[in-house]
Amino acid sequence: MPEPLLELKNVSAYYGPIRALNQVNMVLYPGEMVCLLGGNASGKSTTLKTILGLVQVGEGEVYFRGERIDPKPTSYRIERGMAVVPENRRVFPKMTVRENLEMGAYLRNDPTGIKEDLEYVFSLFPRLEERLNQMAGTMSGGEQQMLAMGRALMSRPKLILMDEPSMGLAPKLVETIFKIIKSVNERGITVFVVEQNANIALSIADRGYVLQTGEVVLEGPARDLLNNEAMRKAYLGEV
Amino acid sequence: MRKSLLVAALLVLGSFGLAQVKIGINLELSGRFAAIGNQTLNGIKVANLQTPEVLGQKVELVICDNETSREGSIACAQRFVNEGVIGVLGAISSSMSIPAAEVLQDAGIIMISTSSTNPQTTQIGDYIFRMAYTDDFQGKLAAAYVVKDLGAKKVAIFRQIDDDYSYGLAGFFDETAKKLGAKTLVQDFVANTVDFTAQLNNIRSFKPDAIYYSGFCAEGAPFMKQLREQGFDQQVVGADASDDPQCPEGAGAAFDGYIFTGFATPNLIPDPEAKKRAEAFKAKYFEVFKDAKPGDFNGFVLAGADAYNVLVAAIKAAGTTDVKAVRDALANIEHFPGVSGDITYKGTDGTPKDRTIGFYQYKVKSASDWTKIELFGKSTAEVQ
Amino acid sequence: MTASKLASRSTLFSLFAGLLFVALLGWRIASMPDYTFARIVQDFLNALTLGSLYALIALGYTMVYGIIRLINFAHGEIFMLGSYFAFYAMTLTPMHWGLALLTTVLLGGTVLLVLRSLFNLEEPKRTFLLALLIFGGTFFLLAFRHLGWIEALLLSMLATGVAGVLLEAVAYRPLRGAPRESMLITAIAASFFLQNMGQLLFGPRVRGFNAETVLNQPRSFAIGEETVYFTGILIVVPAVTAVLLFVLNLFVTRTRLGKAMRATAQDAEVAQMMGVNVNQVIALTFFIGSILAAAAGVMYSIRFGQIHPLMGLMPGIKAFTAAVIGGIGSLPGAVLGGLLLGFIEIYVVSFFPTLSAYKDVFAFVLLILILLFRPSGLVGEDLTEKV
Repeated sequence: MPEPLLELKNVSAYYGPIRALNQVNMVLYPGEMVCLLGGNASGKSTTLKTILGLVQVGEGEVYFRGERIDPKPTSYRIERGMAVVPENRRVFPKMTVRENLEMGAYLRNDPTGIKEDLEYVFSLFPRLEERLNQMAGTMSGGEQQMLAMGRALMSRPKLILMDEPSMGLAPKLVETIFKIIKSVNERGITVFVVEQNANIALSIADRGYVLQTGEVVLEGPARDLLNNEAMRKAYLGEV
Repeated sequence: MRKSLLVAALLVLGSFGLAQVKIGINLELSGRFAAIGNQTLNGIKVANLQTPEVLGQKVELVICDNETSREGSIACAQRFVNEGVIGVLGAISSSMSIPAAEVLQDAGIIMISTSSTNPQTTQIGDYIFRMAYTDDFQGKLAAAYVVKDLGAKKVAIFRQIDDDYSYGLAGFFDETAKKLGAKTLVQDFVANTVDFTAQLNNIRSFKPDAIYYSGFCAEGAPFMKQLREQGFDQQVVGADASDDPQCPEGAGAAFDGYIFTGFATPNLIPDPEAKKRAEAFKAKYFEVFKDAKPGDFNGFVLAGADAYNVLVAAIKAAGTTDVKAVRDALANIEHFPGVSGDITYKGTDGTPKDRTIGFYQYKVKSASDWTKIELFGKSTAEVQ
Repeated sequence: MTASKLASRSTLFSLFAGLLFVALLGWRIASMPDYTFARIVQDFLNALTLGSLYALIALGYTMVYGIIRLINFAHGEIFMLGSYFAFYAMTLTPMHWGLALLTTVLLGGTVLLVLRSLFNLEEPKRTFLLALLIFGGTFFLLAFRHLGWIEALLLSMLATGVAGVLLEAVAYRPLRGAPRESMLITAIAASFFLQNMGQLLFGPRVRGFNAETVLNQPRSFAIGEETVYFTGILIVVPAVTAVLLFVLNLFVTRTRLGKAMRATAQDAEVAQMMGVNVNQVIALTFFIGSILAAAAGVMYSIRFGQIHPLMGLMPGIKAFTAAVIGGIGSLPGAVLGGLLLGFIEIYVVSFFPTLSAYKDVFAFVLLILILLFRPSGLVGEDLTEKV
C-alpha cells in the first residue's frame, strides 16, 4: 500500500459550540477517486472546508503528502497541491473565462507549464475556449461548472476537492461532467468528491465514505456500498 | 468622641476649601475660533493672577471648551447651572453666546460675553452682559469709513449666513452704506466653505470699489487667497473676527493691506488713564507668557481680563456671593477702570457705554512674517 | 448588468443632465445680461478645479469599498494626515541631525516593516537593499534638505500609505468575521479618534499651508475684453487623477496582485481557495487607498492654503457622497461623482446666488435620490447587498 496522499485522523471540528465533525477518520491514496456521501447537514461541506483550512480543526490532525497541515493556512495547502471546485461553482462573476482560469494558476510562475495546462483544459471543455473573453457571471450553470473545474485544474494539483458538482444541473449534463471527472482521475489526479447524488458518484468512484451528523457511518469500495442494504434504503432509493 | 471631633474638624477645614467663588468660563478653545478663544482665556488667567481672591475667598475658574459649536456652548452653560457658579465669562462669538445666554438667563446666572457683538445677546435678559461694543456701531463705523474715507461708490459684501454675528454685522454695514449713497451687492457663504470662486465670479460684473468681509478667519483665509488669485485687487475691509492670527498665517501675502475694525489695543484707547492701565496689563501679560509672540496680544486678551475684573468688582461691591445681589451691583457699575477702557453698565442693557473701536491694518510679507498696524480708534459715543 | 445596458443608462443620465444644464445656463444668460461668455468659462474652470479635487478624494474611498465592502469613514482623516505629513515635511526640514536620526529610525523602521509584509519581500538581500534605501534616503532628506512640495508630497504619500495599513491592521482586521455593522461602527469610531488625536498632536488651530508652488501661481487668459483666471491646480489635479485612474486600471486588470484584488472583491473565500493571501490583498488596498488620500490631501491643502485637524470631515462626507453617486466600488464612478459634485457646488452659487448657503444641500439631495432610485450609482455595479 503506498503512502496516503490525504489523511484525516480523529478529526473533530466545531462551529462555535456546535460540533460539526466528530472523530472523523479518512484516508485517500494517490490516484484514487473517493466520494463523500451523506444527507443535508451531515458534515460533508465541513469536511472539505477543514481539509482546505477554511474551518479550523478542533481535535485531531490532517496530513497531506505526509506532512501535517492542519495548522497551516489555506494558501500553503494550495501551494502544496490541493485545488477545489467549490459548491455552486462560485466562479468570479465579473472576470472573464480567461481571467478565472488565470486565477486558478495564481500561485504558479511557469508560463510554459501554464500554457500546456490551458490546452488540456480546452481539450476537456472546448466551450471554454470559445467563450474565452466572456464574463463568467453571464454563463449558464453547466458552463460555470466546467469553468470551475478548469480553474481547479490550472494549478496542476495533486488532489482536487469537488463540492457537489451535480447540484442544479440537468441529468445529461451531470453524466458528462462525471465522465470528465473520471478522465481527469485517470490522468493521475486524485479526486475527492462530495456528492448528494450517491448513484452517480458511486458509479465512478473507487471508494466512498458516508457521513451522518458529522460521523463516518459507512465506508468501503464503491461496489460494496452500491450493494449495501442500508445504503440502498437511505440514499440510493432517493434520486 | 475623638472620631466625631476629627470629623467635625475636617468638615470645618473642608468648608474653608468649599468657600470658593466659582466663575465659569465658556470659550471656543478648539475648532474654528480656537485662536481667539485661547487669547481671551489668557487674558482671564492673567487677571485672575492679579486678583486671585474676593471677599476673603479664592476665586476658582471652571473652564469649559464649547468647541466652537452651539451644542457645546449650551452644554457648557448647562454644566455651569448645575455646578452653581456665580457667573460665566464668554463666549467669544454671538452664535455661541446667544444660546448660552438663554440657558443662563433662565437659571438666573450672570453671563458676561467677552466679545459677542450682536445686539441680540444682551437683549435676552438682565443677567446677560457683554464687554464689547455692538455691531450696529461696528457696522456703521466701517461703512462710514469705506464710503466716506475710502470713497467707494460700490461695495461687495461677503457674509456668513449661518452665523448671527456675521449676518447681523453685514446687515448694519449694508444699511449704512446705502444710506450714505453707495451701491451694495451681498454674497453669502456658510461655515467651513473653502471654495469662493463661484461667489467671486458673481461680483465680477458689479466691479466693486471695495469689499467688506464680515466673517471669520477659517473662511477668510481661503477667501482672500482666491480673491487675489481671481484678479480682484480692491481694498478689503473686515471686522473684529479678522483680528486673529489665523488670517495672515492662513493666507500669507493675500492679507497684505487688509484693514479691519477690532477691539482697542492700549495705543488706541483715547483716555490716557485707561491707556496706562492697558500698557501695564500688557507688560504683565508678557511677563506671565514669556514665549508669547507680539501677535498673541490683542483686544480680545484685554476683553477677557476686564470681564473677569468687572465681575469680581461687582462681587466685592455687593459684599455677598448671592447671585441676584451681584447682578444688581454689576448693572450699576459706573466708570470702572478696566484695562480695555472705562466701563459703565449703569443705564444700559448690558453693553458698556462708550467703547473704543480700533482700526487696524495687516502688513504681510509672508505667513510667518507679518504685523498688525494700529491706524486709529473711534469711540461708539461719536456715532449717532 | 451587461456592459451595453450600463452604457445606455449612463448615456441617458448624461443626456438628461446635459440638457438640464444647458437649459439652466440659457435661463441664466437670459435673465442676467452680464453673464458673459468669459464668466461662463470662468464658472466652468472653477467647477473643474473643485470637481477634480473631489474626484481624487473619492477615488481612494471607493477603492477600499470595492475590495472589502467597508465604507472607511476614517478616509477623511487619512486625507488630513496626508496633509499634515507634507506640512511637517516642508516646515521642519532641514532637521537637527539627532531629530532626523530618531525620525528616520521610527518612521523608516515602520515603513520598512509594512512594505515587507505588503509585497512579500522575505529575501534578506532585497530587504537589506530596501532598508538601505529607506533609512539612508530618509535621513538624508530630513537632515540636509529643505523639502519642497513635490518631495513632501511623495514622502507623505508613503507615510500615509503605511498609516492606512496600520489603521486596517488595528481597527478593521480584528473585526473581519464580525457583522457588517460592527465594521461600520469601528470606522466611525476610528474617524473620531483620529480627529481628536490630530487636535492633541497638531494643535486645534487652523494653520497655513503655504507652499508657494507653481501650482498656485495665479494665471489668466483673455476672452474678448475680459480675463479668466485659474491656477496650476486646474491642470495638474485632473491630469494626476486621469493618470492615477489609468494606472490603477492597468494595475487591477493586468497585474497578478491587481487581479487578486478583483477576485477578493468578488468572492474573498474562493480567492483564498486559489491561494490568494487575503490579508495581504486587503492591506495593499488600504495602502493604495491611503496613498490616494494623501495625494488628494496635499493638493487640497495647496489649493485652499490651510490645514487643521478637522479638515477631513467635510471632504470625507463629500467624497463619500461622490463615490456613492457615481457608484460605490467603481473607480470611474468616483471620478464622475466627484466632478458632478464640484459642478453642482459651483453652479448652484452661480445660478442661484441667494441659495448659496444651501449648495451642499443640493449635493446631498442628489445622494438621497440616487439611494432611493438607483442605489448602484450612475455607473455602478449591481449591488446585491446594501450597506
